[in-house]
Amino acid sequence: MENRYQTRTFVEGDEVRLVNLFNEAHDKYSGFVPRTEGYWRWSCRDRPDVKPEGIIVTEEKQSGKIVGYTVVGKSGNIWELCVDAKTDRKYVASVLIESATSYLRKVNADQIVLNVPSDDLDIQEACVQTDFFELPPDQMFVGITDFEALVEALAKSIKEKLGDFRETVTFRLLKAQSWINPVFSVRFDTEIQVFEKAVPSGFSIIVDSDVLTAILLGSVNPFAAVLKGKLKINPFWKFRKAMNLLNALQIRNPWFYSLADYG
Amino acid sequence: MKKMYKCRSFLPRDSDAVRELVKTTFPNFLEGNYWDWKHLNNSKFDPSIIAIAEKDGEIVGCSHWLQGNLKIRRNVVVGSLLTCDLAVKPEQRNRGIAKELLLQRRTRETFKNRNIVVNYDFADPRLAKKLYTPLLGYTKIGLAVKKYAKALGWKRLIDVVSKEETTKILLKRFPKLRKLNLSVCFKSKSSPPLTLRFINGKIEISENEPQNVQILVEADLSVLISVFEAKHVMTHVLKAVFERKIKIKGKLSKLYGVSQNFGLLKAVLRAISTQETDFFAHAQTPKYKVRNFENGDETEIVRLFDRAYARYGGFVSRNPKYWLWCCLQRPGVSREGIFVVVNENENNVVGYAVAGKSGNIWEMCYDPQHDVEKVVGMLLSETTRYLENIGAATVAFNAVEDDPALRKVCNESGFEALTAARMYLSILDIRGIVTLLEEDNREELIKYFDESVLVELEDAPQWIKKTLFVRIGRDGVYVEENVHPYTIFVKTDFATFSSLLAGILTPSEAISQSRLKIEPAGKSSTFVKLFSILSLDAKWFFPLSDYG
Repeated sequence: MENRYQTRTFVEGDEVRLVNLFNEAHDKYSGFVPRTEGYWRWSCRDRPDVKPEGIIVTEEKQSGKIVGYTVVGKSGNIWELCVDAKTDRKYVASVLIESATSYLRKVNADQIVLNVPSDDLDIQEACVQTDFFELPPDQMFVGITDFEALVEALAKSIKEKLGDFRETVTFRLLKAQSWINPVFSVRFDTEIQVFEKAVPSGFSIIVDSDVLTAILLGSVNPFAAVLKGKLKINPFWKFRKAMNLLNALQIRNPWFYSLADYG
Repeated sequence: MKKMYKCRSFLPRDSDAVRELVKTTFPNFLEGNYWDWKHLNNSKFDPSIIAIAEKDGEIVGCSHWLQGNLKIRRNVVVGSLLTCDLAVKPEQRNRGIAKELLLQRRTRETFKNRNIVVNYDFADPRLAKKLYTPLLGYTKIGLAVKKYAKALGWKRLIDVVSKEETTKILLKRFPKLRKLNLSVCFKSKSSPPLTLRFINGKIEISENEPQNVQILVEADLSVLISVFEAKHVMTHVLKAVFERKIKIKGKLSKLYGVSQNFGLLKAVLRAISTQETDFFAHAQTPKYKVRNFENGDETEIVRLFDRAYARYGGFVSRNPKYWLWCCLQRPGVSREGIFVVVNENENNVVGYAVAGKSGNIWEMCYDPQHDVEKVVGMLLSETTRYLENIGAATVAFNAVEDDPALRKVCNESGFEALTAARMYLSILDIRGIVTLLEEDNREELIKYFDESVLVELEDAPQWIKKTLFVRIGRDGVYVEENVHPYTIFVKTDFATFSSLLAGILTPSEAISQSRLKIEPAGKSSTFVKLFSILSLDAKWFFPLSDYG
């Protein structure tokens, strides 16, 4: 196994491949900043506690394909750790974690900390085998500043899922902050069209803005919101349609962020 | 009025002050040296969305937004803002500055122009519950994140505990350790061993393999951390022992000593982890020294005044120029009559008094965080001695009513409480004061009210308009003197309305005493809620120097 891979430090020009690897490895997750070369340079390479020796890359000896990398800061933070899905992930993760640990020992760091997706058992196993312990992760809080733009973006991404849903829906947001447009309509037809005001519609969804935030971000079930009287549909007989729409719009992807996304 | 600071956007000349503020507020993150990288040299740096709070030309707070993209679903990426580096100088906290900074530039236009769809933050859950969620409508995200950690060494801990000064402080804080002869080693697979030896009042700490230790504690590091964080350490240790999460080898009689060590380590770790630079300074016994005023003291004196009277209203807001005029340059006041108490450990001013030949102590001010009895005792003794020497017949000063420590030291020093001169207030511009109050509470007003209130004033002086109209709606708050259609009509006299605004009379009291009439009567509770917000909620206090 060991003969297949080699580990080295970062060289200029690796950026594109590292960025592609990151975006592919995190494709199924939400809640992180999609990497571009510029963003990666800023958030990793140019970070004050990161030196070129702290960016460790594992590649296949034969093909030179990068199969994993980690960005380690002298502060003890593993800002990014990423392993290709089509490789011996557990082995590569172990190699990267061991390299990171020995680098941090060399620079006299007192600790080593990293975030791992909760469904990535390979990296987790590599951590446990090297005697890491688990800490509660830092919480992430999200607010929606532009509901109509978010609903439009989500609706366009699930257009096929919506099937023959042809309706104009008006959202009436109660207790909305001053920067939020409290009334908007969305026409679901062959195209999805958003209006920044109420237009004649098939039904209205009347809801507190924080409840709609929680529904869209997947923290609250729309049906539970109706049962608790926190969401109203007018006319109520369109209830099933409204539930279908909100369920389809709801973001259910697992949210994961690397420490580099702290900024 | 209440607001003594202003919020604005970042200007290039603010760089040094903001960099320093961020560095001192977040010393733990990259040792505080990251502002240039994170903001100034960031290609997406947008000064117009960085909020600055300024007071008397000094930057006292800042809040940043990092503009970027956030992936929210497979193939869905939206424009985002990460709220970060919200910092307010410690002496200016609890005045609503953070709240105002967070709301600065938070408009529909700001977000639309930049295609911002979501705003997010990695926040302390307590802060999120108290501030972000109610103010900004944030939702906590269910994360698919596991955070792993490992301790590679105890260098920082050893460095701190090994200092002679630290040993003194820790022994003072945990006096039982003086009599303790104990060696204990904490062992975990996620960290090197940590050995502590307490011998005759000396503390030795090392990360060597345990040799000849009386107690060996073995547990997962997460369990040890949970013990350090527990409120009742001993109970937590016993529970963990019974649950077999901790193994303790050694004499059971030494268990008490072990719990003491946990308490000690807990305090040390907390001090290091939060890098409370003040921790050890505060733990030291302050050394107070009294001296006369020196040039340059005025800046720190004004800061102390602001800090000491932050929760009061009714006095003239201080700046160094005003202070020099009303104190140092006052006839009858000389430098020999101005006493300053300095905490020598921190080299800062913690109290001062300005005595005049007339026998008045024009100002006496002290830092409530310090030993009030000691600081005020020193000031009173020096000023009294000075006034006796120059032949003053009496000594008098104004003191706040609600400080028992001050009252105690005054009684002990032979002072008696007299009825203070009354302060009479007349509002010259009702519209102006209501506008100031609504500006201070606009967010709350917009959130809870959608009303148009017309107030008709009887017996108003000729310079006061007889009507006041307040419109509160989603589009903002408007205060006018012209009459418009209204939902609540209030008829009252000028004195009652002034008392309401000044906070001397509560809206409920005014209603129960039939001092005002509300139509429709069903809106009385709305009126009560509204004018509970639209009133000065601070207690009033003025030092004698404000007499003029």
